[in-house]
Amino acid sequence: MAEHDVSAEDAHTENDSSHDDHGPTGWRYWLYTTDHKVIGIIYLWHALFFFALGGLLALIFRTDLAMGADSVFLNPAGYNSLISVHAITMIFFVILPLSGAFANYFIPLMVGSDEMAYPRMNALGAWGIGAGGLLVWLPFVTNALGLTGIPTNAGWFQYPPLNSMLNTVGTDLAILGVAVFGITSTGSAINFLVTVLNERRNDMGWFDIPIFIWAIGVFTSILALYSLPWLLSAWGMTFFERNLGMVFFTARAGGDPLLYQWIFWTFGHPEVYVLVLPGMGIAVEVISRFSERPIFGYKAILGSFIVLTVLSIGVWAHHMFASGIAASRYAFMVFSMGIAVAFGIYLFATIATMWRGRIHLTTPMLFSIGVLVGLIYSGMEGIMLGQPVMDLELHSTYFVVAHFHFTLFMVGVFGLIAGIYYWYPKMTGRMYNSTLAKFHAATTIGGVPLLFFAIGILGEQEVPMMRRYATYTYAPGLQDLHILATALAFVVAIGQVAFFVNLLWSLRAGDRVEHPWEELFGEQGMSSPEWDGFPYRPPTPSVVTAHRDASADGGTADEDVQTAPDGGKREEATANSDRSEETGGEGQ
Amino acid sequence: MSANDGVPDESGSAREAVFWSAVILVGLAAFLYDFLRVILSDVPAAQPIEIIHSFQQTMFLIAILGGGFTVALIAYAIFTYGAGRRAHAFLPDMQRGRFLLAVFAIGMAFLMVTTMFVGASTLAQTDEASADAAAAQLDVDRQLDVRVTASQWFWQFDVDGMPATQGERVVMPAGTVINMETTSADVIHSFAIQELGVKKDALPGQVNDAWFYVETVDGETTIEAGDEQLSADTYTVTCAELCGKGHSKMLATVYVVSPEDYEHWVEENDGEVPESFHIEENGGEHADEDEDEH
Repeated sequence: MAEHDVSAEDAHTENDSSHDDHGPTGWRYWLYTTDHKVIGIIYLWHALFFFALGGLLALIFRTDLAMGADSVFLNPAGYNSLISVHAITMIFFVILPLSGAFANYFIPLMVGSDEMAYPRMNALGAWGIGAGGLLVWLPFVTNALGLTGIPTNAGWFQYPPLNSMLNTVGTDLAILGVAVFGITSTGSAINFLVTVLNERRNDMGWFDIPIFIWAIGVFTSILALYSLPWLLSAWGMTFFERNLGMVFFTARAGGDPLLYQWIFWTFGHPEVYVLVLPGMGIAVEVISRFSERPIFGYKAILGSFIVLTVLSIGVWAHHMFASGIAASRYAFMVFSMGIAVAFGIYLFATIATMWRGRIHLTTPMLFSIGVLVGLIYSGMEGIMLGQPVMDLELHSTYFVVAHFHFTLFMVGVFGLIAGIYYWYPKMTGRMYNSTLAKFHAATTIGGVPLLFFAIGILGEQEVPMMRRYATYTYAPGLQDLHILATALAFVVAIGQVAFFVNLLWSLRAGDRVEHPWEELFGEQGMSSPEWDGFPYRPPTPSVVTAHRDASADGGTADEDVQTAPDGGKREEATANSDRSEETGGEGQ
Repeated sequence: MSANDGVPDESGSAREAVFWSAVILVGLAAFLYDFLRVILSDVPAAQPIEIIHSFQQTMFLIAILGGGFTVALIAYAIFTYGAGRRAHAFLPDMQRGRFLLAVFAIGMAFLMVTTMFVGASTLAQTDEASADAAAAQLDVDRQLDVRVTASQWFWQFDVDGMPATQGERVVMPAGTVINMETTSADVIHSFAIQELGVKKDALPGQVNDAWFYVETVDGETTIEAGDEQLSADTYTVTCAELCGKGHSKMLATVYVVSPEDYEHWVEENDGEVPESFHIEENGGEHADEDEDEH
């Protein structure tokens, strides 16, 4: 709670002068607030809390796997519990709330609105995270007290009829917890979308919206709005089947188990893009500014987001290639391959943004580069899994585990970690500790690919490690690789400890800063509305060129740019950019 | 203390640039090692794994070239542009940039469309609905029907012509298209023989088809048939869909023996070789005649 008090104080003094006149103080301040910034901070701490818990579970079951082919200290049912809760926690109560933190804090700041469209719904969304997460985690406590069974152990897919046969309170609570989360998040998604579309400053045109806001406020929200009802339907139906005897998915009573998969994966695949788009949006903002380069192809990136959003709705059945769905596999294979083109365009544009730039290797920049690398690794494994033929070989092995951890961890979480570092000074008024941050970056960006390629190799053996296997007595030779993977998991975990220490310690001890990168961004003509206010133009080539021309000529009045003593190169750059102006810059 | 005291100047260090590009390159090495292992790995002389594997080799090679090149580009960008040697960034030439982006997008779309066609035709070759087609394509006359029933947490194999259901150990012939019908008695399971490229969900209330074909027997092990030892290869059956606490122990072993040995083994176990199982193309229609030779 001490940290909360500190950040409460900070939020008061640094960020929140308009709301601290008459409002409640202490815990009531947090509970009653409808201030988008404070709600953003609430989201953030919730997400980080569950991130620590979810990570802890991963370390526990990884340790068990490394210690021997047969169960060591976890029994198989308990093992299934840990992997199920790990997945549910990381997906619903870590990555999404982290996105929610940035959406709440920065959408109003970046579209020039003084508040979210629906502040109370916003507060509901924030507390829905905690309530939902605690419901999922409650059975750990009640089980320890001997009151109930273990938490849900049906996997995060919750496939019936398995899910219906496991009569544990844990499964019901997991469904209810995610339902609480799903309902409140639907509200949040509406809120984000309406704020961007309706509360935007009048002078902010469609192509003046920051890429990050496009990603998180528009496309993520649209996908969440589309996908969450499918999740609530699927899980609601299993809940009623479990508890009220309604029959939807039980074959012997006339239901169809495959029906559940159709509904669930219709949610499940758009969900992946809900998780990665915010991180991809953050990466664009960060990479552009720390490369001193305008965004290469604002509209191309926007177009790739649109294609990703649309196609992500049509690829879900590639999760079901082994379930006997016959001819429809051809269509889902085609869409799954098509999505690679959109990712390719995004990668091309972001790498071209870095190219020939002047890269500042700050921590947010490093994690954003990690996003690009993660996208390549996950994409290269993804095109394999999108092919039904190879799915016969790879489905349900650790290869898939490696693939979606690259997607969710190295793209989704890396992007959000980049956002935490990038906006930490903005949110707290203090600078993070650079040494600890670099240590975190080195262990994480270095460790995560090694960890998940080790996991991938486990899934490519002649007799591979199968997904969700508590034991591997059929192939005890895999233990060496499991030991390696577990060791790497601990390396990554140590990095995350440094991350948490840094975040908490810097709240008190970090240097007070207002805008650590003010000079850098100002010099480039790449201001950002959350720091510098309005009017705002996204850093497209034409905008940045115009700024540079103006400052090279000696000056716009509002910028006191030091003319660099590098006349020759400056001329070359200007000549270069003149040509681009003739052809009409982006976003004009 | 000035306002920006805590901001380290990270733009000027060539050493840092080397370090971070090395961090990216270590991951790239792991990626290349991982994907090269798949390309260079051997698969048994069996179908559909050979079809899958040759397709897999092509795709993994494309991934190594495309993905490896892109990651290398990123590492190069960090190394070159992150060293602080430059006084400023170059602004992009958008005319050239748009052209390159268009070329890239069209090239990538072309590549993906190609993989769609190759993937679709490969899928048609391995399609589980076409065990007969597979037999025709492989030019194999012998077929054997096997009914696979999954339950928590064991497999049951009802092999055509065998009086008894087989469980943890099941014997099947090489040189024969094994035509499987998989189903489940309780929850969803998935029948997987990874080494042979077989994976098919076993759903309650639904029957899914799958097939495989093993060409030869190397003789890793032997099985007993009366007083004879028959040389056999073993393949592990695993469950590929979470089915409860016994999921990871839901195993079985397939012993593949030569067609002649299989016939002998069936006879020793009071079975009868079915019609679909012709032992010799030029021999008698009925396997019974051949059994006398043993």
